[in-house]
Amino acid sequence: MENKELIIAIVNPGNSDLVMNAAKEQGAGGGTVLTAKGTGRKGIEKILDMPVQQDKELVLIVVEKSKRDRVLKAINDNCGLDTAGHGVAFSIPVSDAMGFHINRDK
Amino acid sequence: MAEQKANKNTVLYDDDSQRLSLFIVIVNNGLASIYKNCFINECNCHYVLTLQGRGTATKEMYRMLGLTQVKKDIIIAITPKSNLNELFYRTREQFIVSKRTKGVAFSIDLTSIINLKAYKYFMYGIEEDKYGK
Repeated sequence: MENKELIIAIVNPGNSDLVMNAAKEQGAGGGTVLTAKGTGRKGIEKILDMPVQQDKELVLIVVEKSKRDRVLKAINDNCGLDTAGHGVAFSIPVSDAMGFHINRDK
Repeated sequence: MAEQKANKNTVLYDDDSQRLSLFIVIVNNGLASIYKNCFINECNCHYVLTLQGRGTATKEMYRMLGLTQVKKDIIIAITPKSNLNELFYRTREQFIVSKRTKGVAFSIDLTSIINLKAYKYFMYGIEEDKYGK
């Protein structure tokens, strides 16, 4: 079984569909959306060029390691800091996984 | 070679001091603000997320872990790896304060992050943005 990674995207509310569509185009199977509250230090808007907005959506997507960079780039292009979604995305390793049917090859 | 080319789109980590980690704490409902303020104001964290969850462990397990409620607050701090010792220390201090503030904490290293601006913010915060263009 190929190594998997969990991609976590933090986006403004209502943009999780954009993230999922971008990820699916690059071969991701599916994802899970959670709601969260984000808190940054004062001045976050200067650095990230985004308004301070408390409510956030977290999108969790498990992908094969070989697809990780493509999916991250697609998320950044479609819902990154320079878009309305003002999203950031990163990945963490998955040590073991079961129940995933990630068969799309792209 | 192909992998190297793909990685040009993500931040490469050269050593541990440049890595980011997630520091995750699960505590009783309503306590997130205590930890959030501590992390941001005292532990040099630049961004913290809080979620609500519900614990599903057995009563025995809850007793063993010192937890008392089923509703939980989940605090996720995105922080430089070098900060983890301080975060664990501070969190342990909070756990010791009383049984009510007890919880579980763990960390996971990030493997990659997209967008250099975001990386620099999580890593250095606003004050040290001058280090990067």
